[in-house]
Amino acid sequence: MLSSYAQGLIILVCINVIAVTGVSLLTGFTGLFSFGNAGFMALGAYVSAIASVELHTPFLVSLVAGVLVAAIIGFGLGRLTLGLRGDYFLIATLGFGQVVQVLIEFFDKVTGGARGFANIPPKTTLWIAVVLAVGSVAVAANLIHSKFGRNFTAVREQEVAAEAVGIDTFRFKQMAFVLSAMFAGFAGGLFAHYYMYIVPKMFDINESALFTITVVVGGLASLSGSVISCVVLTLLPELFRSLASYRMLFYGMAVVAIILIRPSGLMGYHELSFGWIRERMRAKRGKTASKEGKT
Amino acid sequence: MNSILSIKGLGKKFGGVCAVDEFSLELEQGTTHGLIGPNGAGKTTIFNLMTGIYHPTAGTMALRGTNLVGLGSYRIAQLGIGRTFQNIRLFTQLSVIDNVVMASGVDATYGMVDAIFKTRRYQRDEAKIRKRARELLDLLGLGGVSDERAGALPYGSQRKLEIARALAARPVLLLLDEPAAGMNEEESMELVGFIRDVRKRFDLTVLLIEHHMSVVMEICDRITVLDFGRTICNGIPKEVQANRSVIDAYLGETTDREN
Repeated sequence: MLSSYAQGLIILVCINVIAVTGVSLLTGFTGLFSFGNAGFMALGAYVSAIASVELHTPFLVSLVAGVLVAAIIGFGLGRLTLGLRGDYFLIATLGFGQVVQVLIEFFDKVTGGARGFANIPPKTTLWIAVVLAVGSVAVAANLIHSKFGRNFTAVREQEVAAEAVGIDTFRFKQMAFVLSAMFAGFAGGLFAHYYMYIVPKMFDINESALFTITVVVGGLASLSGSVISCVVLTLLPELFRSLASYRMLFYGMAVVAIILIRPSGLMGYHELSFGWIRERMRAKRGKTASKEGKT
Repeated sequence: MNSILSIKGLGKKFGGVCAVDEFSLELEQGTTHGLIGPNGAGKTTIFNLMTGIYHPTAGTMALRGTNLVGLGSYRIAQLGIGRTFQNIRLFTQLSVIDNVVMASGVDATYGMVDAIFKTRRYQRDEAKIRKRARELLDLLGLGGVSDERAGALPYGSQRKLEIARALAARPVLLLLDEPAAGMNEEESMELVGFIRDVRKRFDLTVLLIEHHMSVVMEICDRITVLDFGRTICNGIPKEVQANRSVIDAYLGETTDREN
């Protein structure tokens, strides 16, 4: 059996993978940058936690409640802000993330405010986390390989051309945004029922930025890149834990190094598959062969 | 003959500048109509008004009786107006075939649940879309490069790919913005044959902007000549060629410039 430390790490990786999958749909495929997805995670966490503790709902119902609230708020926010140009939309999501934190602290009678919300039942086990993470990635992967994913991609690549072939770009931006909010809310619910105690600070802008960094490092237009990057970036700070105060420095340096060495991200525009690996190996062999031919 | 597109008194002002003034056009189903005029005459602006990229400041437009004024670009495309762009707008990072598949939304009738569970309906639609995309690429002679990155294609092929993509959305009216730009005489004539073929095969009506006079005179049933946003002549190619004001405003001027 795994140590509880290892189990905890795997659960954390799974929760982050779910949230990052949503951001991958939004940023990697639709080309919209959000710095507010931790806000949706907070909504999912608090709604599901309050449902479990105050209303004694079953775990699944609590999770669904969190996802639904995140989806509704995401829909409303998207409706108001997705007409804005990319950079203004980014600022709006940044503001949203802050507002969620402030509101959670303000309504301290319900949420426990800055002191946090405790006594959440520990329902997120290792297996539940793993199965739900794999399921979430599978759902996202299937969506990407359908007309929905294609329409997201069209929005990212060339909005004018997308409209010219009949794609309602606003509608698909809205859809990607709501989906990313739902994944974040889902991750938040699992998070709350794993840590049993949540405070607003857990869902601050750093957390939002981390999701976006993860997707950028993993490479745009690559779900597998996002997932690999998420596993690496979640475990990286743990590897450097013995270096205590330097670990975030190393983490930052690693991110900068990846972006400098591979500007399109680890897997930009490619998905991890056996076909892709074979192609890469053949390309490499071809390159060395032609070099040998020259000498 | 029945009219497919009806434009009356269309106008567009950018601030104080009148880009298009009192433009009217009736297109008969199954014909090819040319839109010519010197640079800055307002030809592309008319395309942009027709496809909802700009909204007109005056006039009416209707496709088969359905009003187009005020609709979003995507809605107009769904109603059946397809187009290409003067400065090519492909999905350059994607493969050639994906560019065509991307535009096949009309053929994908499945919902999100079908997509998530890859139901039979999803598989049937997707197979159909792929097959049709390959057919369109073959038709345009791009079948051999379907897995290449669209941005890596030579200029002429990119123009063709834009037409294939527009066709994938199943238009009834196709707007071509300088399809022969950058092509030599031989390639232009090949394009003329191709446009004729496509128009017949898909039962299309074509409206095209073009500077190659040989292409315009060869393929168009009727021609409208614009200058400074105004229509100065409208008729069959012979009439247009003989029209004094057209020669002054456009044909004469271009030859001067070219020499």
